[in-house]
Amino acid sequence: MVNENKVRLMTKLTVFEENKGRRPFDIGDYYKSDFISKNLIFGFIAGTIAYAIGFGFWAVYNEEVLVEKLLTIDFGRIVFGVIVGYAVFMVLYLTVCYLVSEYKYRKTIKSLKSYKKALKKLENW
Amino acid sequence: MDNLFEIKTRIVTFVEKYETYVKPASRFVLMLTAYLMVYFNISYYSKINVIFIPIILSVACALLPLSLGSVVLGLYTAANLYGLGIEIAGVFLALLILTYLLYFRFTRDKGMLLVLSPVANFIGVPYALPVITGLQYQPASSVGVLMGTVIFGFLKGIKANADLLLASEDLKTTKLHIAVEQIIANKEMWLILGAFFFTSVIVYFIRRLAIKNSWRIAIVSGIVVQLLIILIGKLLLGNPYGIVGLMIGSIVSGLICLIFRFFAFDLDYQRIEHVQFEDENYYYYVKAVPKVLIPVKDVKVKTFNETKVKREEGIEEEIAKEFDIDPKHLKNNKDINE
Repeated sequence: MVNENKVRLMTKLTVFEENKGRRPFDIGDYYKSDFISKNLIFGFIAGTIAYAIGFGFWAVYNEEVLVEKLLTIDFGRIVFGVIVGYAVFMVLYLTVCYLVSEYKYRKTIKSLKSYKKALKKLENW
Repeated sequence: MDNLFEIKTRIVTFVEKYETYVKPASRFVLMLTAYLMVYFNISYYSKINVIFIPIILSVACALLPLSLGSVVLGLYTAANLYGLGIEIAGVFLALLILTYLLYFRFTRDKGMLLVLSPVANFIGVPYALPVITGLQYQPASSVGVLMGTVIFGFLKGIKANADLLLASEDLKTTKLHIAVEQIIANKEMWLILGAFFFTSVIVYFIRRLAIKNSWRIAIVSGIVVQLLIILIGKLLLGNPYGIVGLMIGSIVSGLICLIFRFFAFDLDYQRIEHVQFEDENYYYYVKAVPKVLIPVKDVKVKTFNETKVKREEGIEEEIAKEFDIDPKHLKNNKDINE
């Protein structure tokens, strides 16, 4: 005889596995600090490339002014401006990375806990 | 109104039933529109200027996830821009990389917004997207719409300067400058980006308020605020052209948002799930159907006023019985009070 409650539980577990795939389990393998650190490192690389592209656009657009300034004003001042801009951008971008990864980890662990609870219930059936 | 709800249920039931076909078909329509938009407007590279290419790519993208489909579409667009010069294609690719670095790292499943945004801009109803984003997702998701708008603004600018770009064949720096100018110096595009982001935030916060008709209020407020920002911005920039188009676009976008609300509000689009598993005794092939939909024919309309009147009549009879008076007397008094 088919046990309806057991079928319901197994269906819920399978739907979770099929819809979410491996990703929640991959995230669940990390400690919170490791997961956030990993995201911050990738964020640092992505942010640096993004800033370089943005700066490249700006430099091409202001090419004439930039060349003129390089000739008249001291080079150090321009480099200082670029570094300060980069620092401000990275602080903002890495803050967003931190908040997003922290939220994602918290949400995934919560859903994994419910999944594991249901799995344990099934094992003890 | 009941008929409308019945139509809604029928449509949703149909989509749920034939989801396997409806999803790729809708993806195909969206991707085909985007590919044809590129083909008919910016196909500058003669070697790939064949109608079969966008059609074949649309079919392929219909079978891929939308995020991957948007990458393929981006590469096809870059290949077309290569006809104007490697600098133009390079700037476009840099723009794509920027989008993926800043946005898709966080939300991989919202590739649809990036494709939908230029298409909606091209049709003339881009004002619906920030509102729908605010209704359905979090304000951060509007970045997809914003990047789509940047890409559209860039392509529009390149198309407008195509003759100049083809004429300046030997001047690489000029081409590069013109291409970057379409992004940085396009003040109207930056105005629209600001308006879109602000609209998404406003709509998101209003629809979350615990008030009646929060979704409707959010839609109307979003459309009005967006219209005002763009209108004032245009006047400040000294570019009053296209105001009639803006008004019409906003009205049509408002209607699109209301239709979207009708289908999306208070409806959990859970899918019908087909799952297979086994235990020690059986193999199970389960079809799990979500409970959210009421069968069309079983809808019963209950008038609550009738119950209230009956209940009031019952109370009158009880009071009359308790105080040993004629119930008609109470009814007469009620008529006088009314």
